[in-house]
Amino acid sequence: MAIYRVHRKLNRGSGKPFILPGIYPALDKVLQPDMLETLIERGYVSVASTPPLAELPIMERHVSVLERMGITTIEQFVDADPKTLYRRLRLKKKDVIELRELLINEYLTLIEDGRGCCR
Amino acid sequence: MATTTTAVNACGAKIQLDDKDGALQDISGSSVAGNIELTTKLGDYKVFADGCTYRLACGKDGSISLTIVYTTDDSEGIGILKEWWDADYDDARSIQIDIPTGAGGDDSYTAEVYLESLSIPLTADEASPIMVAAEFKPNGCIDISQIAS
Repeated sequence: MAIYRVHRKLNRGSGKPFILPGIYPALDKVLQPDMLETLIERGYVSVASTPPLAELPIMERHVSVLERMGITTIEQFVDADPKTLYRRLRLKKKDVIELRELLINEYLTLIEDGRGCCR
Repeated sequence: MATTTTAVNACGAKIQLDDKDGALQDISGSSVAGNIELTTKLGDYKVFADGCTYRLACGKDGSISLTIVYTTDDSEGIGILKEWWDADYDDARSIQIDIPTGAGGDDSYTAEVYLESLSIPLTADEASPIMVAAEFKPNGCIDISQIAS
């Protein structure tokens, strides 16, 4: 899952709420690929860099296992198969889901396609 | 400083206005000019200690004006404006002006506006089409964003 930083307010038309400046995962699922490319070219959107997992206190006890799995970023963790994660991290499935949600809520802002999220 | 290479003109600006059903209609084809006025409410004061004037800012405001060709098609600019003033004058509608063309990444000025005035000048010896002046006042902010659709 790519994570994007939106630098300017984006108008999606058709009465949809604006996408406000901030960090968003999966912007490529909300905008058409050519539109996203244009916005990146013009500097209104960039691919965001989030802190490495090793720098996050809540991930401290899992970092070494995750690194052995090749997972060092929030994007990789969010994208990873939950089943593999809870087996390798020796956690319950719900704990992995909670950890994933915590990372998303703490470091990422989800775009809702309905009303009330962005304006 | 390097000379800019990104200047644009307004020749291809895209102007859209809500029709009676609340759907944005492209009225660029019957509009000839426009103006977006962005203002800040300022209050000033002067103290005894020096000769300068100081100011405080308190909120944004603005206005939008358009010059529209008088045509006979109800779906064009003047048709929408006539219907709005006649049947729906007390409702705000959406206006969107895209610069330079409305392509991805272009600037977009959007607002919910009231139709403050519609001026239709009539001159007996004028061969050119009637040019109608429409003035709009926003109900809320004029938003500046980038086209992403």
